Amino acid sequence: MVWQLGELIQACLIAWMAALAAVVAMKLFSGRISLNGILAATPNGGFDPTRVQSALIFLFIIGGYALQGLDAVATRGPMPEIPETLLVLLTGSNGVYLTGKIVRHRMAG
Amino acid sequence: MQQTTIALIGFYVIIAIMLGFAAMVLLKIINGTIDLDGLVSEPINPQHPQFTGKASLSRFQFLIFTFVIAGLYLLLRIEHGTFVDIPETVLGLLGISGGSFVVSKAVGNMEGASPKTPANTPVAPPSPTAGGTGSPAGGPQ
Repeated sequence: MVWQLGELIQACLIAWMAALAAVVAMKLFSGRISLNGILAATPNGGFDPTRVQSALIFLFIIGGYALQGLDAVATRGPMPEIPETLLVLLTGSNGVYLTGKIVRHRMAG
Repeated sequence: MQQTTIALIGFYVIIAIMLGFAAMVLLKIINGTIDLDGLVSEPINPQHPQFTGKASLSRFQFLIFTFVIAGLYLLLRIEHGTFVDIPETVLGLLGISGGSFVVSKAVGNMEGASPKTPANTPVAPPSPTAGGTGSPAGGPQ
């Protein structure tokens, strides 16, 4: 009985997480959650190179990690590690993005 | 009544309450009572947070990292039937992402508070977009 309830709770948890992710994804795709200007420094500005490189590196890392994660789920392996070089890359990338943002703020102020 | 029976009943009640909370949150998100429209947007002006500005890369990054890592952890936890170890590098990744979000938010708030920046001036709410409700994103709920 308890074992069956545990399975039910697991199924509910997965369904809840998937539904939450689906709702957020649907709102992102429909434009209700706006991504306007995500690569621009100002609301009406053009592409900001610091943001573009940060977005590319972020997508590269999260894409690779998601693939590794799916592999771990399929093989019942442990939670995959992230190579330290990628962490350094992400730190540098976010550092460049934040430095650009701070410099723009100081120049504007 | 046996102690194990009491514990089981308590367990069922707690689980029912938690699942009820989760279902209510999801329902309110779906029907719009909990408004997610400004989820990845940064407020243009901290004094007028109901008017959201452009999307924030650091907020978006933090959201996706959290979803991927939490989802993966949940799947692996169910696969293994026990808690799995979270590697330090994954915690580092979340820390870097969260740190970037906090710094970005601090800089954004400084921009809004600076008297020389146009961000300090009250702004009109964004025009309704296709599929929008016509109310400012992140507005009063």
